[in-house]
Amino acid sequence: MTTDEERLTVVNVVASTRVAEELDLPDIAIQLNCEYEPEQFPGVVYRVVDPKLAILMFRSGRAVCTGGKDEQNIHTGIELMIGDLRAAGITTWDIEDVEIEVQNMVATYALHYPEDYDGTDKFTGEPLADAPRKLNLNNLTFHLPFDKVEYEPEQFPGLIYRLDYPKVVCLIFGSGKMVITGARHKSEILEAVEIIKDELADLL
Amino acid sequence: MEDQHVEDVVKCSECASRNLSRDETRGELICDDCGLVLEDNVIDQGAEWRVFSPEQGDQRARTGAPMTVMLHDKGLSTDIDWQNKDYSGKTINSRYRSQFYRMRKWQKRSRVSNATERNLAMALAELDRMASRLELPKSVREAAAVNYKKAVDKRLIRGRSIEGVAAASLYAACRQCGVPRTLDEIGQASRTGRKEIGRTYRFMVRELKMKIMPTGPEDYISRFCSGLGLDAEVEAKAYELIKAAQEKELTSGRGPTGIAASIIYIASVLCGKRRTQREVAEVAGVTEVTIRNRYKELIQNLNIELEI
Repeated sequence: MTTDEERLTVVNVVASTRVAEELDLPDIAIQLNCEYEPEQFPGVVYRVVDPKLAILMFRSGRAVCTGGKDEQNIHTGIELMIGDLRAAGITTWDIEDVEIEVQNMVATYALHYPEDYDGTDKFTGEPLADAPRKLNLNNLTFHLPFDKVEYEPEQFPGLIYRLDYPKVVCLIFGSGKMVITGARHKSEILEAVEIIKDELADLL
Repeated sequence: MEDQHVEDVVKCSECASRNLSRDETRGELICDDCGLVLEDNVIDQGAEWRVFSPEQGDQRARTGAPMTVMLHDKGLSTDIDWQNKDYSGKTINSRYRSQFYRMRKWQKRSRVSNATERNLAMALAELDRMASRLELPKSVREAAAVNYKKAVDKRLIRGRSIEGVAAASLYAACRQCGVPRTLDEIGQASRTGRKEIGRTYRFMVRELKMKIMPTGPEDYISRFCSGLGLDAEVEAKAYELIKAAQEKELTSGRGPTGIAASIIYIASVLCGKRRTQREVAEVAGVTEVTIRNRYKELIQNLNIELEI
């Protein structure tokens, strides 16, 4: 049996940072050949291919890095960017002075894994792992505290569960898959998974 | 306010029985089990007895219009009558006509005293307009007005449009009363889009801590069936199919209207009163593709044989 941590896939990490006192965006856009459409968006979009990231730079010298798979990704991305900026003769802070703060982390997790169910069905003799397992989201709305869940099948197929602590939001789908978002750290996601698994223990 | 709460008395204070009866001629509220008179001298708010025509009924009513939440002042304000007659029924001298005209105008304006009142008056008018367009009953309109007032009290209107909040109140009211309309239907009747209504609705539910059950396909069956001119046989079949589908967990995470539409489609074919997918789609406000997809899932999992 694999652990929760291995099953959890972090799909997006967003971090914010500040790399300079001030940035001359038009100049950067020309020198680094980046996307810059001030009429559409006030920042320069700097794309990194490996790891696949997008860093948004603003006039104030702040930057937002999105699309990372973990914190390490973000660090490498920002280092690459600072290297490029310096190569183009733009003054930035030293890498040691740049503080990177994770703002959001999104992860996916599944409540059902076929390999958890070994043996065969008593009546049909088919392996249990093949049996389709679905969550009844309607029942779930009664199981969880009502002021924290939101299930509007007309508007969104998933059930939205807002936890107070850790302060994250979970989208639970009928297939038993979940998306956990709003966390600042991976431990918060793991905690949330634990809580939800506890609360749904008798439904799984 | 004393007599108002007579309406609220539901239990005998002596024996806790709920068997209460109202004696209109004596104006008493009596417990049927122990005989205690719970209230006396109850004001009868009904019309005078022996009415031979509706106009007469209006004339003989002993009190004014009942309070209603659907008006911003609860229907308690007074008007200067549009007829130029004084209290005894004599025509007002033409010298004073224009004066009365102006007084009437100002009285109408001053009835709405401040911005909040004006907001409420506008919103309630909008609510009424939408409800009329959707042909909703009075109970739903009242519930919608109550929802809107709650939102005003909690200051949820700030930063949102009156139309959006009014439409969301109506949508919530429909669901509270067990006659859900789809967001699209409400959206068509209102001046805002379904997205805004949905967003405002979710916000309201969260802030007002309303407890509203998720809608299911069963809520839409009878309305869609009558929209398609299908009879009770098809309707019964559809309910049966929905139950089967719910037992097999085929409904969770699917849009209730889509499921309802495809189930009605299947039921109509099974009963030999076939409606085309396009007809069903139009009535239910979903696309034909949705019907086909749900239909495939349903017949596969419910083992239904259909000849098309």
